[in-house]
Formats: sequence, C-alpha cells, structure tokens
Amino acid sequence: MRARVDQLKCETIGICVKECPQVFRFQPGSKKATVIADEIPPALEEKCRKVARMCPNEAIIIQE
Amino acid sequence: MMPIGPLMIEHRLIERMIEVMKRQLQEWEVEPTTDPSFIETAVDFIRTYADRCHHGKEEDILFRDLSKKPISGNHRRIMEELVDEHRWGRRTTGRLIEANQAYRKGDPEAASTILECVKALVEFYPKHIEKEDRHFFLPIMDYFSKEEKAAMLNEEYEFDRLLIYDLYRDRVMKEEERVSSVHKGETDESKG
Repeated sequence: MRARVDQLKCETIGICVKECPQVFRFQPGSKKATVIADEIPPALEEKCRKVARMCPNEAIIIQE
Repeated sequence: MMPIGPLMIEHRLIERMIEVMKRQLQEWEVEPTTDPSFIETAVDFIRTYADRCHHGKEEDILFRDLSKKPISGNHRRIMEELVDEHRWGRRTTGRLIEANQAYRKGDPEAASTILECVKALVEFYPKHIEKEDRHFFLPIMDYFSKEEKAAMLNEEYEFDRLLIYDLYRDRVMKEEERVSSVHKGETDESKG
C-alpha cells in the first residue's frame, strides 16, 4: 500500500502527523504534510486508512 | 477548507503548549518549585488562545449553528460535555491565576495548588482534543450544507480578525483606567 498527500488540499491541519508520525511529517517551510515511507508497512496500513478518513480536507490519498 | 479545519490547526498549537507545560511540570515535580513568569505565560496562552480564540469559535459559531440542527442524542450529549469541559477549564485556570498571585505575594503553600492545576490542565487538554478530533468534528459536518460550512468558515476568520482588536482595546481601556485613577489620586492630594 502507498499513500500520498495532495499538496493543494493539505491545509497543515496535522491530524495525520499526530496520529501516524511513522508515515506522515510536516515539511519544513510550507508545513504541509508529506509521506515519508515509500511503502506503508503492513502494521500501519489500517492506521493510514483511518487517518485518511480523519483528514477533513480529504488530502490523503491511499493507493491499495 | 471545512470550518473544523482552523479549529484542528489550533489544536496542534495547543498540544505543543501543553507538551511544554508537561515538561515543565515534570521538572517541578522532581525539585518541588514553580516559576510565576512561566505560569503567567501559560495562563495567557490558555485564556487568550485556547479559550477566548479557540473555544470562543467553537461555542459562538460551530456549536451555535449545530444546536439549531436536529442532531442525534449522542452528538448533543458530546456537545454539552464539551461546553462543560470548557467551563471546567476556565474554573481551573482561574484557580491557577489566584494561586500564582498568592505565590508571588509570598505564600509558599500556593505552590501545591499551582502544580495541581497545571497537572489537571495538562491531563485535560489532550483528552478534550481527542474527543473533538476523533469523535465529533468530522461526523457533525454531515449536518451542514456546503454553503453553511462556507459561512461558518468565513465567520471564524472574522472572529479572529476582531479578536486581536478586542484584546488590545481591552488592554488600552485597562491602562486608561489605571492612568485616570493615578491622575485622580494626584488631583485629590493637591486639593487636600
């Protein structure tokens, strides 16, 4: 599974970074979230799906 | 952006300040002491940012509009809990201010109340934020139309714009009153 953050939709709300810091980080400068893992570790897949549902801007795109 | 967006961004900053308070508290628990200047900074953040700015927008805009909707019993219960928690936060911050003032005036006994209040606030905020972020904000957005959400978001921006004016107007008024009372005292003395 892969994930990415739509940079146009991300508004630095940070729920993804808070809930799953192993996968999401704020970028220096823009403070928008980004994904730091190429492949989502299986143990974190469900957490990433949940985080994607929690983002109020629907900025997290999950590719199964 | 949805009207919960700015509120969630504010949550992240509140969490950072709470983390600072938590670390400070851990130091004070090892070596029992307190720092009145730090408490004043923390109180200013909690009263102005977390309560007046953040809880203000929740209560005066989001909860106000939500209460007009036919919401579920569970959502109404959570909203009432959140408002009660805001009140609890204000009372606890009030106790903290009183204890800090007493400590500044030389009452060493006040230190234990300060630590107790800081500990209570540090434990309270993460749970309160989690309840909103995980269980409340997103589901309640379904009650609003796109236009209603846009109107709330605009009102939040306006709220923030006016807040900075209100804050400094209050400070100016306070200083005007202080200077007037000093001046009046001087005039009364010269008459006497």
